[in-house]
Amino acid sequence: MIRLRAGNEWYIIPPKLALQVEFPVKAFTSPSKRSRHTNVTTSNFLAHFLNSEIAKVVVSRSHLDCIIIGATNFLSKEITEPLFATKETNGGFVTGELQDIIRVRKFTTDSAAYRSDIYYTHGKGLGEKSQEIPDVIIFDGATSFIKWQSLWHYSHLIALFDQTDSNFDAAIQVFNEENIKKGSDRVAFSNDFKPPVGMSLSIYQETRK
Amino acid sequence: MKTTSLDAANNLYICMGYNMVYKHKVSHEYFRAFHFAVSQLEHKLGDLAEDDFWKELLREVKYYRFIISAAPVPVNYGITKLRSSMKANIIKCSYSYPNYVEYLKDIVNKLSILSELNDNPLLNTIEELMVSDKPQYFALLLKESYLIPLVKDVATNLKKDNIEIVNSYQLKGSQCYNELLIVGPSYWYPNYILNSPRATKVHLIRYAWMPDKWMPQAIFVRPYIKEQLSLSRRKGVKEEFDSEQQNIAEVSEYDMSNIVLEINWKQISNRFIRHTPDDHNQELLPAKLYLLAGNFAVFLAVDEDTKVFVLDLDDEEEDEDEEDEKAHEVKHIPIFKVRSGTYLLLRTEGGGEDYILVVADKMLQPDTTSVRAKQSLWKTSLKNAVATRGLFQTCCDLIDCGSEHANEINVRNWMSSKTIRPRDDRDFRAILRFVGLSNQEHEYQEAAKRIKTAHKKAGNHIRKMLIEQVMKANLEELYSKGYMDFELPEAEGGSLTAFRIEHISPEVYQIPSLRIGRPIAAHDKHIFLA
Repeated sequence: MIRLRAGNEWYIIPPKLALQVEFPVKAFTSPSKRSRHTNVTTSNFLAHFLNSEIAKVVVSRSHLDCIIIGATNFLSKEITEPLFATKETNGGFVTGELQDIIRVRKFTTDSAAYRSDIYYTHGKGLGEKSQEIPDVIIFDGATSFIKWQSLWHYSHLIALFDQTDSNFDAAIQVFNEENIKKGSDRVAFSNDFKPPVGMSLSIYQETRK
Repeated sequence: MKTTSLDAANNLYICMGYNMVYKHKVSHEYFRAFHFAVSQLEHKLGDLAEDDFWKELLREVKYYRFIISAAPVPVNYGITKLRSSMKANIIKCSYSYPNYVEYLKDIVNKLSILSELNDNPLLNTIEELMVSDKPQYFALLLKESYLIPLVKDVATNLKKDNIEIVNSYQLKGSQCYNELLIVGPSYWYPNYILNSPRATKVHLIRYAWMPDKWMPQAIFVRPYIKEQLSLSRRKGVKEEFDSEQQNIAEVSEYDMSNIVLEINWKQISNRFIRHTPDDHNQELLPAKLYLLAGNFAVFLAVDEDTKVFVLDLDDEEEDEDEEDEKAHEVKHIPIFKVRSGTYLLLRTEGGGEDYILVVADKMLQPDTTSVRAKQSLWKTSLKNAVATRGLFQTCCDLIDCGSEHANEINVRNWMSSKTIRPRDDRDFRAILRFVGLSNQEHEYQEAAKRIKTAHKKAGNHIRKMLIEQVMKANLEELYSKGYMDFELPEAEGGSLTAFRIEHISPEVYQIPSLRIGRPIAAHDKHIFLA
């Protein structure tokens, strides 16, 4: 059990939620009673992509599911441009952007609920962020992986490499060495991964520290 | 910044997943005989090949051999001059190296036969591959960028709308083609060309006597099982043979694979040293030679404090001076992070000085002269002390004056005009005390601080101007030619050119400071030959 004080209020955190406690990015203010009941709008795209019940939960509760580390300018374009659509039953399309689904903290306005965040590969204070424990960390690019992969020990790690990247060979070497050193042979993955044709994929599991 | 649309990304996956590599062996009996004769001569010469006579002679022969092997040009391309030069060398050879005259005569005979032929076997194969019932878009990849204009001049048949002659850097982007034609064996090119191809059909076209054993290989030590299946099912390699090739014995007792031209670093550096005015009072700085796209070259200082402006379009490097948390296309990075393929920004108009220095001086006005004079005075006094007492004794004296980091390397750096002041206050204080300026310590500290601030501001100012220019520019020209000019506002004085670095000299030279950072064109074809 963790007792957490924020302002004048105390919160009791049960052990199973202990790993979800995060350090606030901004100065912490406890939500006023009025703001707790604010109606949150759900985008049509998200409601179609998931379903309206799950979508409501996603937009009303913040939780850091995922951190992406990469080139923020590229990622910002990919995430906030309306490039995607879901098909409706009547044959029409509902367009939207990745931000509707992944809800990056950096790109949310005001105090909207977030589900992920993005950090710049060459960001100055990235080392300090390692106290955050999301479910997944995505290293977008070889440099991001080489620079930061050793910092997180409690999250699942996903690394995306581009073969034309100047640091590709170095990143693959690090990945392969880690795989040989730490990867367990006895792990059977229940999920049936289907990467795009031609994409090379490797998965390994290590014992949690 | 380079972004990839969803459509383009989809095409990249199709190229990766449904790709087939075809290996085409091309023959030419007389060029093969010439190639064999040169390899035989090199083998027989052994260590003698390092003698100046043979080095010069082999330089010309190897250049011809490489061009014919790496570019679809006729086998008699540039041969007339080469043959006369070789004939003249037979006489010299008979005096100094009589045992090798027969080998040289053999080469000249083969050149005579080749000079009568206008065959272009590489081009013939390329043209055969381009015959198609439906419209196809081809890319022709050549080993070196400097071959592209040559091929465009000679192989007029390749001036079609459906073929683009490219270098390997252009194949990093998201542009995909129906078929990719590669001249030369696979080991001439970076791994991504075949592992992440920009076409579903890739043709490796090479002379039959140059071995190439490329096969697709898994990247990971423990690949996910489905990837292995997809690798064997979808990707493949097929050997295609030239009909004539079957009758010719291609096996040779000599190594005929290593024909890529090495860079003649010594010759390029000598040319540079001749090109710029000399001043014996100039300080010498450790520098490396950088060979740039478009046949340019430049010396850049390689001490740990040197930083250069680069165009980092893929956001691969960290800019420690950058204060915000955004990726920018223009970065100011330490010289040791610069590598082949980096786009280096150099001042090409408006004077040869370091651009930061020029802009910083403007920012220091009206106190530029007094502030710079102070910096110059302590540096000159330190240099004079080193000249009189020697470097080692000066280090000892500085330690006695309270320096923490005085050693020969650091003292050289502190004297250099490329640095502003020592990082540690104790070292700076010790220098001022040692050169008799300790009573004005505060003023000198203040001057150094102002220069440092001005340099930082100047760097940010230049970066900002360049980013604006880059945003407006069509960077396709930069990718294809390897260099591109960026005009800065007139008031800022001059233009900068982004050059792609092709090669970096392994050796460090001691170069006068005036020769550093000034790109010079190197038009000599032999510049690339060792």
